[in-house]
Amino acid sequence: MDKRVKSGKEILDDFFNNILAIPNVEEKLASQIKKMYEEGKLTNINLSNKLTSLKEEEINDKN
Amino acid sequence: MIKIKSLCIKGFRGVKKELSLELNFKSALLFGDNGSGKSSITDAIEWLYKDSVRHLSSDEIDRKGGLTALRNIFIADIEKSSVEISFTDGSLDSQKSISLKKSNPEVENSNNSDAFVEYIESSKNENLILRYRDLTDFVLSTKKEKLDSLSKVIGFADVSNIRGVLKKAVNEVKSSLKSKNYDNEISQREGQIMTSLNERVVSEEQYVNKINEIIKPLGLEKDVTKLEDIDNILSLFKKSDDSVVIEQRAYYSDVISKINDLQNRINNLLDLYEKYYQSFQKIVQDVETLKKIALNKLWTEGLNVLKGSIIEKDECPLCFQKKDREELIKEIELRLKTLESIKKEKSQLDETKKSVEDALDEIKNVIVGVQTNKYFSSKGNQDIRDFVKSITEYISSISQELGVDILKEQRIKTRDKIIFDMAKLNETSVFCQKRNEVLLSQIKGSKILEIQDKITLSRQAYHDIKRLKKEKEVLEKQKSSLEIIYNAFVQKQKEELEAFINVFSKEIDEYYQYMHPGEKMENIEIKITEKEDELTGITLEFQFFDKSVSPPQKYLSESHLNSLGIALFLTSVKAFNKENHFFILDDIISSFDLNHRKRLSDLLMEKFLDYQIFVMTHERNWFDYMKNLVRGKVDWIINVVNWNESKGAHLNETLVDLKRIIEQRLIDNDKTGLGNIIRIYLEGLLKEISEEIEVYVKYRSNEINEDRMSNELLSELKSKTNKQPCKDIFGPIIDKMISSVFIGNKDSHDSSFDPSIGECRAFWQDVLELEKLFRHDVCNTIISTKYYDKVEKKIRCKCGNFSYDWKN
Repeated sequence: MDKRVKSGKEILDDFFNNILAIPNVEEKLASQIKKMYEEGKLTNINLSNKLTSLKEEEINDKN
Repeated sequence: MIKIKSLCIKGFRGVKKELSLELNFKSALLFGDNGSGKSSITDAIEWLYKDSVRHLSSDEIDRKGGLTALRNIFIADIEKSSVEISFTDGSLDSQKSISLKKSNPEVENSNNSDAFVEYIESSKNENLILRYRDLTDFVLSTKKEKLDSLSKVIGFADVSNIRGVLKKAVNEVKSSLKSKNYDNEISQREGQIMTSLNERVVSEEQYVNKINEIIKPLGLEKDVTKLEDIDNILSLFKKSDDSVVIEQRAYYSDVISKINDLQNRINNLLDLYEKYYQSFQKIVQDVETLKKIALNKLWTEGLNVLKGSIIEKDECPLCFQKKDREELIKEIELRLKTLESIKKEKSQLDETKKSVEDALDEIKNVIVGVQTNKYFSSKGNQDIRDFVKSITEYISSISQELGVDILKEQRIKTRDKIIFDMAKLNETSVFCQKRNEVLLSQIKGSKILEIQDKITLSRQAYHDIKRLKKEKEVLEKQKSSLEIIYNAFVQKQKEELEAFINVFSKEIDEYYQYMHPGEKMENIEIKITEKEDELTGITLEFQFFDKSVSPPQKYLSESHLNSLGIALFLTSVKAFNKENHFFILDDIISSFDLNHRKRLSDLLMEKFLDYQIFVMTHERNWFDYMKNLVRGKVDWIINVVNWNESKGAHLNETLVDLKRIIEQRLIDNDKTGLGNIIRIYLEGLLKEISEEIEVYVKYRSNEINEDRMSNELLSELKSKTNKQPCKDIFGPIIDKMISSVFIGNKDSHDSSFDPSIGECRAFWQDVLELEKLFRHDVCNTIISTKYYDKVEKKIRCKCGNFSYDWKN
C-alpha cells in the first residue's frame, strides 16, 4: 500500500510543482505562489501582501 | 527500511540482570506467563522511541515518578538501567540508559548523531506497538479525534493549512471587488463626462474626437491625437483669476465622486462590523475560557519543561508543589486542548477586526483626499468641513468599539447604534452641485473658460475611469486565477484523501474479513464528514446484515471490536511506517476464541512475511499454534520469557547459548551447576531430534509435554532407531547415555546431584557424539523425515550431504 498513499507533504509538493500547468491561471501569480510555498512562506499575510504588490505593479506597468 | 538486529535490556522494568535477543533481523515468537516480564521488551522499545511508556503514565505503579518507574526496583542505585539496540543501519545503533545521580534519574543516549535524532523523530508517528489495552483506541475515538489522528500521521494538517491560506486569498480579493463597487464608481464618472461634454463617451478615440471638436473654436495648430495631448492643451490655458473658478468646479466634482464612493464604503463597513459584532458576542459567552488564553504561553512552556525531562521530580516546575509528573503533563495537555477551539474563534475575531480596520482606513484615505485640497478651507466650504468632521467622528466612534477589551468590558454597540446619517452624504453632495452651478454661471459667456471647464472636468473623470477599469480588471484576473488554483487544490486534496481512504478501507476490510470470514459484517469503509467545504471528521461504516451502519461499537462485540482494532493497526503499519519494517503485538488476542486466533496467525504469516514481527503472548494454545507455523522457518526465533528473583525477566537459553556456557565452564574447570546445564542441553537436543525424525512419545497435555525428560526421550529414540538399517550406529551411544548417572528421573535436577568436573567432561563428550550422529556439521541441521529420499530410502539433512539408510 506504501506507494499509493501520499503524505501531506508529498501532496503539497506535487500540487505546487504542477501549479504552472493549471489552465487559465496567470503565470506570474502562480509562479509567486509556488515560490512562496517552496520558501515556506505561504501564509495569509504574505500572500495578501504579494497580491497587493502584484496588483500595483500591473496597474502602474500598463496604465 | 529498518529492522532490529539485536536488543539487550538491563535493569529495566521487569529485567533485573539482562535480557538479550540476538535477532539478526528475524521475527520473534515469545511466550511468557502473566508477570514473567515479557512486556518489558515492549516497554523498552516504546521508551527508546517515544521517551515514555504510555500505559505507565496513568498507572498506580507510576505514582513515584516517570523515569524511576522504568528502572528495575531490585537493582542498586549505582547500576544503570539500559536499553541497547542495533539496527539494519549500524549508524543508528544506540544505548539509552537511566542512571541515578543524587537520587535523581538522568537519561543518557550513546547516539546523538543528527541521523539518529532524525530517525527517532520520524519514527514517533509510526505504528510500532500494539497492546491489548490500545486495541480499540481508534475505533472508539470521536470523529474529530479519528481525523486528527490520521491527519497527524499522514501530515494532512499542513494540507488543510495551505488550503485555508488559498481560500482566504480568494475571499479577500472577492471582498475587495465588492467593497469598491467599481461599476458604480465608473458609471458615476461617466455621468460627469456626460454632463461636461453632453455626450456619452465609450472609447478613447471617441473622447479624443470630442475634445478636438470642443477646441476647434480656439484655432490651435495641432489636433489632439492622444490623451497626453489633452494635458498639454490644459497647460496652454493662461492662469487667470477666472481659472480659479474652474479649479473649484473640479474640486466640487471630485468631492461629489468621493461622496458617492463613500456611500458604498460605509455600507461595506457596516456589513463587516456586523460580522465582528457576531463573533464578539459568540466569544463573550465563554469569556472565562478566553481569559485562559493569556496562560497559553505559560502552560506550553511548562509542558516543554516537563516533557524535556528538565525536571524529573514529581513536582510542579512553577510552584514546586508535589504533583505526579505524568499526571501534570496530562492535565496541562488537556487544558491546552480546551483552549484550541476558543483560540480559533479568537483568531477569527481578530481577522474580522482587521477587515473592519482596513475598511476604516480606506474611508480615511478618501477623506484625506477631500481635506488636502486647497479649497477645503475656503470660506464658503463650511458644509464640506462639517461633513468631514462628522465622518471623522464616526470613524473614531467605530475605532473606539474595536478597541473594547473583550475581557474587561464584554460589550460593544450593535450595528443599529453605529449607523451613519447617510442624509449628510446627500446634503454635502447637493451643496457641491449647487456650488458648481453657481460657478458655472460665472464662466458662462467666456468661450475659453467654458472650453477649459469642459476639458478639465471630463479629463479628470476620464482619467479616473481608466484607473478604475484597470484596477477592476487586475482584481478580476487575480480572483479568477485564485479561484481556479483553490478549486484545483480542493480537488487534489479530495482525490488524494479519497484514494488513501479507499485503499485504507479496502485493506482494513480485507484483514478483518480474513479473521472473520462469512460473518455478516462486510465492506468496512472510512467515510469523511464535511461541513461548509471543510473536513470535520472520519467515521467507520460497514454493512451489518446487509444494512449500512455506524459506529462499530453500537453493533460489535468486544472481540469483534478488537479484531477491527487489529485490522486498523496492521493497515496503518503498511500505510504509514516509512522508516521501520518491524512491529510488536503484545498479548493482543485475549478476547479471541481459538478459531480467530488461528486466523490472525495465518494473516500475519501470509500478509506480513517480509516484516520483522514480535509476537508476545501468555496464551499457551496460541503460542503452540504459532510455534507450529513458524517452526523450521529460518526467519523466526522462538523463546520463552521466565522470571526469577536473581535475574528478573529473562529468556530461556537456546542450545547455542547453553553450548557456549558449558564449554566456557569446562575451560574454566568451573563445575557449578554444570551437570544440570548439560542435562538441559541434552533434553533440548533430544526434543529437536525427536521432532525431526518423528519419535513419538505418549500423549500428554501441553504443559506436561514441555517437561519430557531425557530418559523417556532416549528410550523412545532407541526404539525408533532400532528399527532402522543403521541401528548399530546409534545403539551404543544411546545405551551408554541411558546408563549414565546423569540420566535419571526428574529429581536428578535437584542440587543434591553433584558430579565432578571429569564426569561432566566425559558426559559432555557423549552428548556431542550423539549430536554428531544426527546433526550435519556443515549445514547445522538435523536429519529429518522432511528430507526423506523415497527413491534411495535415505533420511537426509537439509543440504542432503549427510544421510542414513532409513525405513520411513
